[in-house]
Amino acid sequence: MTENEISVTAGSDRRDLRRYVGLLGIFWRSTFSAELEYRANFAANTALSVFWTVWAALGVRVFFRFSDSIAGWDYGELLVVVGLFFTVNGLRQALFAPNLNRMTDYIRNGTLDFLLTKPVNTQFMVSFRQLGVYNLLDPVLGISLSAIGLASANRIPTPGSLVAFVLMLAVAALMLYALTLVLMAAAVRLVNSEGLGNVAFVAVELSRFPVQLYRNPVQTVLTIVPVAFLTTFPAEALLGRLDGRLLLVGPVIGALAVALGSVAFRRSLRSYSGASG
Amino acid sequence: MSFGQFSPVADWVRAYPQLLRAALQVTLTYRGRLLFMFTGALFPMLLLFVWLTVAAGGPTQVGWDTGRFVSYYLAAAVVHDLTSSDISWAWDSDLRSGELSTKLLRPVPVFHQYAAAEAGSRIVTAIILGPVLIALAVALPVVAFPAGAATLLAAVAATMLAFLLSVLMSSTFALMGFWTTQSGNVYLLWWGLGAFVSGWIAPLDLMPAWLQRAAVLLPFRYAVGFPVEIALGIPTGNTLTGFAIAFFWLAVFAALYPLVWRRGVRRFQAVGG
Repeated sequence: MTENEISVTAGSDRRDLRRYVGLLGIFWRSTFSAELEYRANFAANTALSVFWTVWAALGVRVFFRFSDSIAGWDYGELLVVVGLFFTVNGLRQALFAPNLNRMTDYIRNGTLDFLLTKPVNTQFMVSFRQLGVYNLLDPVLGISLSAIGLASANRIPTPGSLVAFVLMLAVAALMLYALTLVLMAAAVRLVNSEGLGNVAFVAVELSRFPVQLYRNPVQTVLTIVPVAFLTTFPAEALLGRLDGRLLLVGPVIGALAVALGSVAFRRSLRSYSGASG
Repeated sequence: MSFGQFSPVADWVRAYPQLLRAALQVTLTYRGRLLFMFTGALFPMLLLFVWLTVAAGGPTQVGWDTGRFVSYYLAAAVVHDLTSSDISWAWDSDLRSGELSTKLLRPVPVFHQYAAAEAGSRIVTAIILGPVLIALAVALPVVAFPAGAATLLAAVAATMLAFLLSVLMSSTFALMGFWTTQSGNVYLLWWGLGAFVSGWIAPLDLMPAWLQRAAVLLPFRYAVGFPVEIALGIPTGNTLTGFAIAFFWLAVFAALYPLVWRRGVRRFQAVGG
């Protein structure tokens, strides 16, 4: 299977980006073909995602029975955030959660010992080996809801704000990846990580609404603990009202967060003494 | 073989204390799972924060002050933790792992095995969250429940009724597991649709009148919001009528469950050989 292809390229330049992109293709293809056996499940999960997206969009309507605008957000603009919530949550479930969940198994079964001996960067391996196939369409659904929100708020984004949006969404993904890395590091140390996936769930759940919808002190706390990066800032970029400084500060913070997460992960590996020895 | 289903009533009644004790032990052994109590409370807390912003936004027709919002959502979070049922998920995974076959062989009907496990874990929840709610009501001046012995009694009775209704609904949907692998998700869909009229997405009092009228007749409110409304002294419609409708739905699902069970379990034998 895939193991052969990996070991053939062993020993070549570790920084070879193409090799890692190729590996990613192999990882995801193998997860994909394993799940293709359950096509009915894929259809059922997609239907469920559609249901929950519509559910959330209708649910927030209740707030607007009493006022046309809440803390500067009207219904269409709020839908942009709700859509981004499903986008980011979909990223969590498709990219990060399956790998975080596997981490406990790797440690308990001693698979991590085996992974450490592979001629592939361990962090890359444990971060991207798995793919949540069932949730792959969630980000698409979320973006669609955001588009509907933009249309109903009559806010057609300019090319500039689209670029800003893509940048801020990438920062959101970086933040989420950094959090996943920290949680993986914690999993190595705690072994029992039943609650760790919950931490990521809570962080994303907090981003269901724009931070302005919460009054202080909650609003300030969620801006400092960077929940605002997940949906509020990308939405503001899309609506053309993002504080321009964030376009510079955001990517720096995102890169720093991932760097810190990597340090935490590598340190946890150094403390790891093996499960099978 | 489901002879458990036909054993004398006294058998499973006598088994209950033991089943409950086992469920308590399981809950206390896996204490980490108690944390899920708090993640379940996250959604109502978010809604609470948004409502506080709405209410603070100036003169609106909301008619609810901060205290009522805080009281409603605190009570709703606790009641939800006490009454929501995971039986259809447990059933789903037991069907897949084969554990259901073991449960079928025991001399206590499967329904009661799941119900007792659920009740045991909720007793632990009540022991933890009950004092928390009381402490908050005492410590936070904004939290106010009209404290009368009759109100309190009615709210507790409605909570127990909500638990029973949840268990029966969830168990009935769990039976779909004999036909599909998605029974947990189907129950979640049912619950999600109901959330618009159960008091979970928003207090019924703040919903449009037509939804309120539907809510009084449908089962969902009696599994979530009804006890909270009673505790706050703001029931939609007549409280006694509410209890009557709750009992009606309880009877409907109590009649439906054995009907579906008999059809499903036959199918299960066919599948399991």
